[in-house]
Amino acid sequence: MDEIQKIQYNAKRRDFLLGSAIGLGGIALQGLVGCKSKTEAVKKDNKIPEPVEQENRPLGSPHFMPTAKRVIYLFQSGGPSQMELFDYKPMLYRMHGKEIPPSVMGTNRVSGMTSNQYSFPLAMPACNFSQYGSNSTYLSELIPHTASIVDELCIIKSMVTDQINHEPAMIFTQTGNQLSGRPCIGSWLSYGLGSMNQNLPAFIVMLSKGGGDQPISSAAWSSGFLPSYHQGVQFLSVKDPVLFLKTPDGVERMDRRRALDFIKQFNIVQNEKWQDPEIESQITQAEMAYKMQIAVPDILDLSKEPKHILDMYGPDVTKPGTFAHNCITARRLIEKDVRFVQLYHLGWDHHGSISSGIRKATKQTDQASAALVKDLKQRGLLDDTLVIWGGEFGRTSFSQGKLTPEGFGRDHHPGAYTTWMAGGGVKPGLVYGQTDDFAHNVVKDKVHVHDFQATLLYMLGIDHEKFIYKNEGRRYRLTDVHGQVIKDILA
Amino acid sequence: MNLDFIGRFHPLMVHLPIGILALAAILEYIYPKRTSPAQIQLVLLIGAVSSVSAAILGWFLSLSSEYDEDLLNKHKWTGIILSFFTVVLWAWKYKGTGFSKFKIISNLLFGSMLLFLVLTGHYGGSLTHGEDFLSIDNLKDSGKNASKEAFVPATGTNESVYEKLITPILSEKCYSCHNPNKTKGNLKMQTYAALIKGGKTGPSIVAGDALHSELVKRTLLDLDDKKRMPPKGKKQLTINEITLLKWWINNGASEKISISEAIKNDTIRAFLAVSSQRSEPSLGLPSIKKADSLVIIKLKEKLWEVNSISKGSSYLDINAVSLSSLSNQQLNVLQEIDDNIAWLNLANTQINDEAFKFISQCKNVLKLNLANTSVSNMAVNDLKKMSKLQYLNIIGTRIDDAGLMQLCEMGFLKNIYCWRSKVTINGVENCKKKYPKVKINNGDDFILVKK
Repeated sequence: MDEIQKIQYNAKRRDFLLGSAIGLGGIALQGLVGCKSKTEAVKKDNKIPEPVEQENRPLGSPHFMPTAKRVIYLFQSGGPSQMELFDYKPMLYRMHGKEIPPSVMGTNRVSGMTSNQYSFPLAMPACNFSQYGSNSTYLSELIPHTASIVDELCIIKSMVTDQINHEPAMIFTQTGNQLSGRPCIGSWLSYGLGSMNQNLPAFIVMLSKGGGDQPISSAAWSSGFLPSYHQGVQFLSVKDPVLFLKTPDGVERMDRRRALDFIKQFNIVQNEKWQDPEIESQITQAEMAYKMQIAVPDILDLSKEPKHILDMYGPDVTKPGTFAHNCITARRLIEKDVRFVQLYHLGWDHHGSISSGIRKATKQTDQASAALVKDLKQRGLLDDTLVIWGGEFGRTSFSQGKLTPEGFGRDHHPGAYTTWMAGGGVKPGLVYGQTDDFAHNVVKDKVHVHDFQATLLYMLGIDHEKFIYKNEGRRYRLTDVHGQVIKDILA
Repeated sequence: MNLDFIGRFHPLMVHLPIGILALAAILEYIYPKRTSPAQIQLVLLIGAVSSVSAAILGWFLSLSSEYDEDLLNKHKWTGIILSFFTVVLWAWKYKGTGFSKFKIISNLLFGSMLLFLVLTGHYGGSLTHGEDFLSIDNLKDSGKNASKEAFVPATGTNESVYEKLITPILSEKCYSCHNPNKTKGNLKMQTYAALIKGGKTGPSIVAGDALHSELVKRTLLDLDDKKRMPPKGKKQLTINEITLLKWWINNGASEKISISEAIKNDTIRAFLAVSSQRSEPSLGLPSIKKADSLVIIKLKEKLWEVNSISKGSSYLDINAVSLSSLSNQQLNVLQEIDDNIAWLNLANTQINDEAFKFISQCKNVLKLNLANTSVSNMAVNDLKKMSKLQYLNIIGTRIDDAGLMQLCEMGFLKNIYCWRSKVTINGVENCKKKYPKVKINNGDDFILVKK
């Protein structure tokens, strides 16, 4: 398969212990039984490590035909409010200021920020809703551009997560576990399916700036226990997104090549001696960087984009590091068949004055998100590219703190939130799942984060139950021991 | 007393003559020395009496007219002849103990009796279990159908609900008693017309009213109710299957109503999701020989991106994304694997119309991306040879309205992307009118529709 996917079997501590334990055991057995021929014992010893070797091999090709070959994940960090965007609840306007009924509130956990509140007054959405598209789907007035592509979207209103705080919830959405240390979705795919363009990494990450102050940790695009060259390659939010791309003045490209080859020889010698997978990662990364020197400047150069395309993405598109700029870069990467492009936009954490906060966030993201889908569609790429838009959890239908005429905020809410997908084999124009009249609990077709991840892998042709990596004596999956593919949302 | 009822003892009685007459033959031919003529006579007498009574009971049962006439007649007449031979044989043995010279007559009688015994038994068995009961093929089939629920294909939403969803359920759970050979309650179910016609109780379906349709009503009766279908002890319909039947009848029980109509209903969609659990997306191409791995290595060395569509598939996804300077000549390397190519991406390369002499030979290509190449109408004739093409991307090419119109004629083509080519809005409109099934995307699909 792909060069990147050719992972040689590397001896690790556990394999050494396993091998030697069985080896020593074999010798002891020979002594006990006393009549085993030498060759037989050797044969046995050679046979044992085989199953270990079979494990931890990349898939190479998917289990079945993929409907999506590439993914763009527009992660909206902070917890976008479902009530102000997608989940229209007339009841909230009617019951504005009244207490949330105990039967709705249930015994759900609230965050430390609202747990000392004695009153939980419902708050009506800080905006109006209208119906859009051929299915007359209700959407907020704050996302007119998204509304124009509603017939392409599969809107899942019944997302559910286990976590209520940003970092664990975000790590959970990205890696399937609340603690950092497991590989994220992009790394799993880079490892399992490899790159589709030898000159570019399979997994690229971009953060937009200008959103909010909620930090985001690189654990979200970590390769965890997978070989480290599968971690997300981050393009920086500055004018030169990839540092040191240019060969310094006075150094020819041939010189760079010779230097790399020379270093590689040393690394190979070291690798033979130590069998450390990290050395192999270093070799691969250096080669990739060399290739990226040619491939990346071309991708980052927006000067050849026609004006009407730039206009689609909005006025921010030419400012490096904005969400719009990252969206158009994502499209350019997808055109080059990068498998997984992960964007993060911050600024959805509206604990107070949600009305102004969400207006700012939608202004930064709405036009570019919709433009990305339209642009992929007109290029014929949406057929096999999956676009995902969503955050780590939703927000409460009641006000955080006092509900004042000046405004209010909403707290974190893991019990129901909305995510949309487009292209890549999802059913277009579908609204899936349903919440109660307060957008507080899911009442129909619940989609847990594990189910979401299982479905994502399914679209890429992977059976999530057969996509396994063994680490420290335990077998891991992206979905761990959970996850159901939601076939109802697939076209 | 009802003759029909007495007739139901026929299945009990028939097994006696089979055993007893076989015993007589065993005594006569295998243990002649240990058996006295009187003993043989006695056994034959019991055999004769039981076969005659079985025949009479059988005749009563046949009055219920639930069976295929042709097969029933065969069974009836072989049975009557068998009874006749048993009586004659007994009489011959009883009277003719002295004529030991005429052993040959006794042998002939025994032979004929055994022959008719086998024939009657076989026809009787066919009546009860179906004519194909004794066949190896049937055995294989029944293993396949052992799943709990009738299998439903996930694809083909335009197919008929009756054909794809209802028939498999009836076939698995109802046909064994309601077929042209065995027609319980005078109801045959194997054709749509017969199903609608119904049986003894009248029509089995009241279109639009599932709960007054026998077909559904009887599946909901108490398990001990004698009208319950399928009867106690037989494989029952699942809740999902009953739900589907109900939906189908409530929506007119038409032969033509399509699956796409059915999946608008939440419950039915859920049912289909359960039933199609196993079907994963596939290319739908015939299985062919794998591509030579040496050729694949050669391609990769030349910077082609080559990937299997899926594990075990012989089909390839071939991509020239790393080869922007690709020209016509460089396509030659694909020649050795032309049949294996299912997805072909030649976007942004230097190929031109000449290349299609070769490209059109790749007959299994489903997706072809020619974006931003200098392809023009000259290539269209060659392109049309690629009969399996489903997706065609010609954005930024020189193909114009005339070329698009020709491309639309291709049978399987579902999606054409022609943004920034020489195609005009009018050209797209004309094609859409003439070929409404082809989705043509010219980049102007999105208008804010507010309601």
